[in-house]
Amino acid sequence: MIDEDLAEYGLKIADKADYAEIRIESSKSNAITLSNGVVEGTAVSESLGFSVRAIVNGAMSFYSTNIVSREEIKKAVERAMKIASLQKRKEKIGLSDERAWTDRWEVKEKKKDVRLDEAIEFLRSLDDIAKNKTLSRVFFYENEKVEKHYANTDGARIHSVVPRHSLYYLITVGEGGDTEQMNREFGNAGGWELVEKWNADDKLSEDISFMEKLIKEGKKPPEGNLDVIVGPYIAGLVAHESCGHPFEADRILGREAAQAGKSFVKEDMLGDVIGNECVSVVDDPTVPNSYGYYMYDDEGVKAVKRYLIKNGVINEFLHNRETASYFNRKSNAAARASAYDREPIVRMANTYIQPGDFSMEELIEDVKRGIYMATFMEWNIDDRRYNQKYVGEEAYYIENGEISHVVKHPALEITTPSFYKSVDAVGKELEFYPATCGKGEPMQGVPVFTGGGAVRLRNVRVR
Amino acid sequence: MIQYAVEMAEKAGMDDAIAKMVERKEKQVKFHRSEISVVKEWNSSTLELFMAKGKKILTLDIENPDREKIKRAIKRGEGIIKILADKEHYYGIGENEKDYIDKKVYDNGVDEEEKLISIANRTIDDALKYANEAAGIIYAGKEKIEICTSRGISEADKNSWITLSARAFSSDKASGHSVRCSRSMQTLEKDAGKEAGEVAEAAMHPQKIERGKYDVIFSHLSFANLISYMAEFASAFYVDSGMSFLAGKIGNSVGSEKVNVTDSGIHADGIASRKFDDEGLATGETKIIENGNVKSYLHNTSTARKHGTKTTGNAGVVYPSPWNEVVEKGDFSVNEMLEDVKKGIYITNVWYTRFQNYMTGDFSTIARDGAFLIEDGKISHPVEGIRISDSMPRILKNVDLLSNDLRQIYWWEVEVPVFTPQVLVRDVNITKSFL
Repeated sequence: MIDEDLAEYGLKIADKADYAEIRIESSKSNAITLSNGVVEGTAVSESLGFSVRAIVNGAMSFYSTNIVSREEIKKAVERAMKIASLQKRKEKIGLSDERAWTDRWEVKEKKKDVRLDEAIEFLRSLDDIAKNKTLSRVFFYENEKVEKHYANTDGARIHSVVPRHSLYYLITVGEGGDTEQMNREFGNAGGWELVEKWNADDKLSEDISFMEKLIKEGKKPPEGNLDVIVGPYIAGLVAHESCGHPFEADRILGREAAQAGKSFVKEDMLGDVIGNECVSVVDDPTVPNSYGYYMYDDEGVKAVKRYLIKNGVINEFLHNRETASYFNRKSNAAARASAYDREPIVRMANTYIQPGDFSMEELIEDVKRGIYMATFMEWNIDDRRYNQKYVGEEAYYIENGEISHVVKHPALEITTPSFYKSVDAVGKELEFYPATCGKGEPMQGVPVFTGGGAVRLRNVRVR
Repeated sequence: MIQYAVEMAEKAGMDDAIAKMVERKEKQVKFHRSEISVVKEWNSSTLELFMAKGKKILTLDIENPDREKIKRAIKRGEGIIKILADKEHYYGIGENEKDYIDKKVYDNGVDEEEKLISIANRTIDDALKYANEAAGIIYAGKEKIEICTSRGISEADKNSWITLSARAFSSDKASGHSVRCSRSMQTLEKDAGKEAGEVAEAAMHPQKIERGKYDVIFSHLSFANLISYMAEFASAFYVDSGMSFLAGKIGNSVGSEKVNVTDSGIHADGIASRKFDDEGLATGETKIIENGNVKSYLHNTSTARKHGTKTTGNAGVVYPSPWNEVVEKGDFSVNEMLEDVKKGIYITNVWYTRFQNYMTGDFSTIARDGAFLIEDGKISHPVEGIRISDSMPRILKNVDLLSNDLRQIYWWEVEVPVFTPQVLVRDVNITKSFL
């Protein structure tokens, strides 16, 4: 239970700041690791802490502690004011004017307080599927419930409670010295009832069967110019890596330049064509029960759906109040902090390529020579979010409109504009996949969905 | 407080208990667009409690602990531990058999904010002499750690560290990065802005090159990135979970005989040096790779017993983890290494290292910041858009020359501190985007 009066007390002391906000968070989490049938570790954490962020004379500061008391709040505000005032900025930091919301919201759980032995049993049931068919397997399960109270000197007061569950597995299948690996992540905001809907057992069985097939039958992919269909799993990764990240306004302004890098997208590129007309990329925190769900961001701004690319045109960047002020616009509620001891920075929520009109059969039937990549293991992208590589794990050769055979590790290395300009059709089935997005220093991993319809690229180079 | 926690756990019927209290103070100055963006400060106090009953184990975090919170947490833990499954290869916690070695530097003034701000301003000014934009981080902290275990260990340790990570841009595609780190403010080299600026200036007007095999000189930053991954893979947990190309390789070659890598928990200037591990046992030095052969994994008491060896003092009670890595340096200057390259690339930094298969070590990583083509022993011109697409065993086997300058690297993309020379690796596979 959070003592909301502490925030009020702190904000009163901060009356000489241009701006101040206090975020108090209480969280409970449980984590289990099951490796090769053995429960390696079970961790139970409870945390309570807060942070103060202040702007004094156009300079910003952030102070955080897990010592929660009136004395510490006072000290925190005073320290925040002091370390802000030590800076001598030429260009003053401003924040966009926003409506000061007062609200309380919660993600409901139909089935809550799952016991750890039930969770272990769940992992064991997965392990049973894999144990005789894999060289090794490791499962990580985690649940957490975060209660948060946010207050700022503009009058916003937001209280929230969000439970989440997640699962990650990495399995290794091998035969005759040849090995293949596949990892998967599952996650939602909500109760245990959503874990039951993951069908992780089916997915795991499918992954194992595919890898056995890949080892036995996988052929080298053809090299050269081909059509490529990427399934929603990879389409989501692309949307996240090469649209979501380069459209983060703080990255465009260079605030993450020394860590996560900058962006090939520049301030004046709004309205530029970046892809084919059939490409739209959306980032939407309001998808119910999504892993990246929120109703208000960590600056108290009400969440909205964002069209980053609309019909092939750069439409909107992701903003917090600082970047919105610089761009002379309103925030679109992209400020997120991964915990009470992290500053809110510009982040994605649930990023996806908007579905089109094509069934998977229709996407495939029009391909003479091509590759269908359903899942990946290795991928990366440069720090301008321009040159990227996706290596298929589950991948097939397409010949004359039909799936022909399994191919081993086809690699697509392509620039961002080339990717979006090569798209000629988007599938109509929208699928989401959870992921943890990393950014900031110290590192902030935040839960997100990635996804989309499947995407067909024409005439791109694969090897 | 920690003694109380262990006593309470024993009273609750636990066979093993470890209480570790960490009080930490950290400060950070972040800058971008050649101005300070934010100054941050943290102050935390956390008790990490490990409990075992038979082969059932549990870890609990208690933030800002007091006796009441500890009592409550142990009561809760008592209920939880009953329903957990056995960890079959849990063999208890260790008793210390070695002397503690504590030669590491401690600097109580490492986090003086005026000095941190002044370093930020100097770094910006230095970078701007060569480039037109600077960004970076100065991050400093100190901590007090106390540990008490049910095997009679009661020890205390204190640490300090400071890292300076600077990036300079002379154009959209031309940047340089430099990292300096130390355990004390005094010994921190403060010239990262200059080095980043110089690389950024030299990286102007990069050209595209063909895919193919190139000899690569890895700078300190770029080789440290690969070694920090390798250090994680040396943890017995990673090895046993199919997440390491070092698995099954004890005594076997995974690299050129010139490759020697040691994990050190006692390095005097190592950012991650600690007097004791999470079982309270003395840290030390562990040769992971000796003359190209895998010599040891990193162990706690339980993984060591499972592997039929002795703990290396790298607990994590649940997952062993590395301290600082030290790559043995060679005899060559960078100029001598350059002279030995006919067709190659000098890569000053990499990021986004990702693995296709942890067992085989197949991976790719992207060159970021200045990368320079080497032709006939000389730097020819900067290059852009390249990626190393290869495998860790191949890279280690093709190590040919190591420089005589060792530098500690620890930053956003190098999560395990690594002391490394610059390294010439033959025949590295270089790829790039086709379109």
